[in-house]
Amino acid sequence: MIFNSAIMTRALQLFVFMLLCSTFVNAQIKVWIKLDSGTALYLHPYQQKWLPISAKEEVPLKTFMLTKGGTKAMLFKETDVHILPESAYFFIEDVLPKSRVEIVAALTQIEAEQLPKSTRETRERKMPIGLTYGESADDTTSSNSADIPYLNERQNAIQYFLHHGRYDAALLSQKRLLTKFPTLYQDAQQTERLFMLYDKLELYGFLNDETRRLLSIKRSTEFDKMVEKWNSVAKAKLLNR
Amino acid sequence: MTRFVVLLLLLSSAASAQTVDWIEQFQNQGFSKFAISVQSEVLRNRFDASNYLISKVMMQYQAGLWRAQATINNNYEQTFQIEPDPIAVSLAQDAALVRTLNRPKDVYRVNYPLSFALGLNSEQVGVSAFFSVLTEKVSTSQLQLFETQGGVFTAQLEPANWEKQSLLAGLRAFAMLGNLRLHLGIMPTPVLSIGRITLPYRYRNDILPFGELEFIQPYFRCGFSAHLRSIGAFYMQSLPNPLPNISEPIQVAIRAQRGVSTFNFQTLQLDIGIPLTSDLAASVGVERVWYSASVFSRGEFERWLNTATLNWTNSPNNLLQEQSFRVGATFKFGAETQPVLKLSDLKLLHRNVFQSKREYYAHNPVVILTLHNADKRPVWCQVIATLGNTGRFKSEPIQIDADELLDVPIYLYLSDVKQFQISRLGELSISVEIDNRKLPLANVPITILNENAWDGDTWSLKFFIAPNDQQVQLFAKTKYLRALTIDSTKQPAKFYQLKHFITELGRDLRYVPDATTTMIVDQVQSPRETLEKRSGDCEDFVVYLASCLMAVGIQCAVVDVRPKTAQNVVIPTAEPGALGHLFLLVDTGLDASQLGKLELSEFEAISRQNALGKTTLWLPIETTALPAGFDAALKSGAQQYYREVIEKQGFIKGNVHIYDF
Repeated sequence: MIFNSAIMTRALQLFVFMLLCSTFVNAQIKVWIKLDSGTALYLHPYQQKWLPISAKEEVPLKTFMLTKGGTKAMLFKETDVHILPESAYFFIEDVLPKSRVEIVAALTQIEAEQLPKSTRETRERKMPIGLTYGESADDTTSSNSADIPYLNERQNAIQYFLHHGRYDAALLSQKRLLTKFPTLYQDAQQTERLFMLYDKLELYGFLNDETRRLLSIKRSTEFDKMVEKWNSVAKAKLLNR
Repeated sequence: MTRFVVLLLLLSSAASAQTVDWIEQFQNQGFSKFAISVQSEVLRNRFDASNYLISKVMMQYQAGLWRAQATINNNYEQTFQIEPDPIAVSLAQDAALVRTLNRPKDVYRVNYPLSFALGLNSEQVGVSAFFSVLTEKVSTSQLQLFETQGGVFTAQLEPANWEKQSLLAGLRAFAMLGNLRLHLGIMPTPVLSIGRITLPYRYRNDILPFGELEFIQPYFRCGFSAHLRSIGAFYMQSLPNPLPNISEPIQVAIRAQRGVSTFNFQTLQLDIGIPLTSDLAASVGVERVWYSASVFSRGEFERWLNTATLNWTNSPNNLLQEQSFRVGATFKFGAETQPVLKLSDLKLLHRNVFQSKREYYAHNPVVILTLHNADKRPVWCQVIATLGNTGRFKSEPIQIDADELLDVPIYLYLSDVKQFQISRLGELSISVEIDNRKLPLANVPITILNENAWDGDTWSLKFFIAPNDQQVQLFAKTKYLRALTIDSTKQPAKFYQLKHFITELGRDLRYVPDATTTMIVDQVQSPRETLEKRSGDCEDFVVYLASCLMAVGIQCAVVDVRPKTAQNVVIPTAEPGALGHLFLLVDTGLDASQLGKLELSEFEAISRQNALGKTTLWLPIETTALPAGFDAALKSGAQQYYREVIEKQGFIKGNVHIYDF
């Protein structure tokens, strides 16, 4: 009996330890997706595979989701319900509503996810995170926007969020797209939409940073005019504060 | 009328020789208010084939910038003799000419019993006035004719002595121009004379300029001097003093001089000054003169006499002489033994010195000294540090102004010869060199770690990554060329070639952890060692793969995943999932928009700027999974990237760092 109780105690300890470990490892919050019709997939972050979502499935929050045309799906987080766009490609976490502080944190994280260059070698000139993107304007030979995977779906998602007044989700999706594919910074429509969203959410610091960075890279006259316009908006707002 | 002149030239002239002013040399090495120098010289002269012992006592007093010097010479007469002209006297037939026997011939004597100088000297400029008492004597014979009774004449040579005292005055100045010291002056010229002036020769009745240019370095000085009728060159070298507790160096001086007029002479002298104690220094010297006396004429000699220069304070042995041997002693009274420079603070920045980081220590200080110049004058010094026979450093000459506190960084130039495979304790000896004196400042114990030791700082891995290593280059280029020739139907070919190349690099590799030791520091293999052993641990593989990729021009970055810790606590890196770990980012060189073509998910390729400022796709590669092939390494790398960067937001939280090499 004593022997057995010792084994039991050890097993219990192991169980508690495993529980703790699993809590630690699976620290990420999961959300439920309810699929009424159509096809939806999510990118399994560890298997690196697109997995189809069943009628009701719990999926990790920090990953991408792809919905086909005619898909009707909803996202449940605790008591909140969010309708998901169809024929769209988006980061699930972006769908959840965010406070201003959370948006800023998410924007910073989006830039950090691309592991910007270390500043240790050049300690003297510290560059803020994210200000290194979109500078490869000169070499356009190898970049082709048409090659960007799920570009239409990504844009559909942004449009959907925009039309439904979900500026936070739209901004994060737009920023995520531009950060991953900085060649799109050359697309005036994409860039202006980003600026517009910054403006809507009154993130003038970000707007000022991005416009100033783009101003240093001269593009077409029209593009520059557009950037200058938004830059002056940002400056005016920042100075009036 | 031509006269054959036999000259006994013992002239107080520096045209022939300018000996080293030891009092000044030793005085500079340990400031004292009062110093006295005694020098004696045995010289053998060709003209009269006799030996002379001459000596002088020189005293110096210094108060602030003022310096006064006085020199007393022994009563040595510097004389030359001139054959009298033949005397022709017409006399009556029975007249008798009587000449007194043993009468001296015409003798001209010049003597400097006393000279003194007063100067105002700073480090940069100085001016001094020189005065000397000159005594000139002429002992000659005069023919006296006496008429005796009966118209008989008697002729007699009567000795006649004339004497004249003159006060000579001169001026000299110097200025420092960087390392160059320029001396300019005018030679002493008579300003006051007492006594009979009908001397049969003229002495220095015009003003003569002179100049000297010195190049001064901590270890040597050399220069040229030009007087009106002679030019000279000298070289003075400082040598370490082998005597215990005496930091003042031994000074060796060589000087050569040559007349440029028809009065032809050459001199060569060697002098050595040896500090024996902190208050006493000895000097010895030899000198040899070659000259041609056959061309002398009275007029020539007089001209030379006029142009001959007078050394300021070293008068007695500045003689035109055949050969001489001299010894001297210099005493300093009340010498300030306390060093002018004081060590105020010492900040040890690296207690452990890693041999692999030798390039780092050449540009980043190991120690920062704070030196204080307690003197009232600016001090020039050089800081010297030695770490056994492993490392050394000597600073540039540093100027520290009066009462200034100056931070001096100490770098280390470590030997690149592999000296030892195991770590050991060394001592960093730091000293400062002022005016050729070496003053020890501090000894700091330092651990010198072996060639493979790594301080745990991922940034320091750059010192292990060796894409230029010959063996690495040969291996990597061979593999890469093979990868380039694979079937390139799949597009983009660049990606599939890279994939094949990385697979090849990982073939036959085995993951073997480091030995379990109590050592705090981790050990990292050089890529060459990993190539030879085909095994290693996490950071060994990171170094190996980065070296091979960089050897063929593929950019890499190391991602460091470690929790934030207090300073000095280094978390070792091990296999994936450990508390600390490293993985590699490899630049594909492909534009981010080509992600769709690669059949990779968003977490498997990262949009990053490369060194050219272009945003390209970078692949996270888990090097420990390399033996299982490219796909496994990429998948594992992507998992880590996702978990640490996206899920745990490690980059923002400071747990993930990236290092571009």
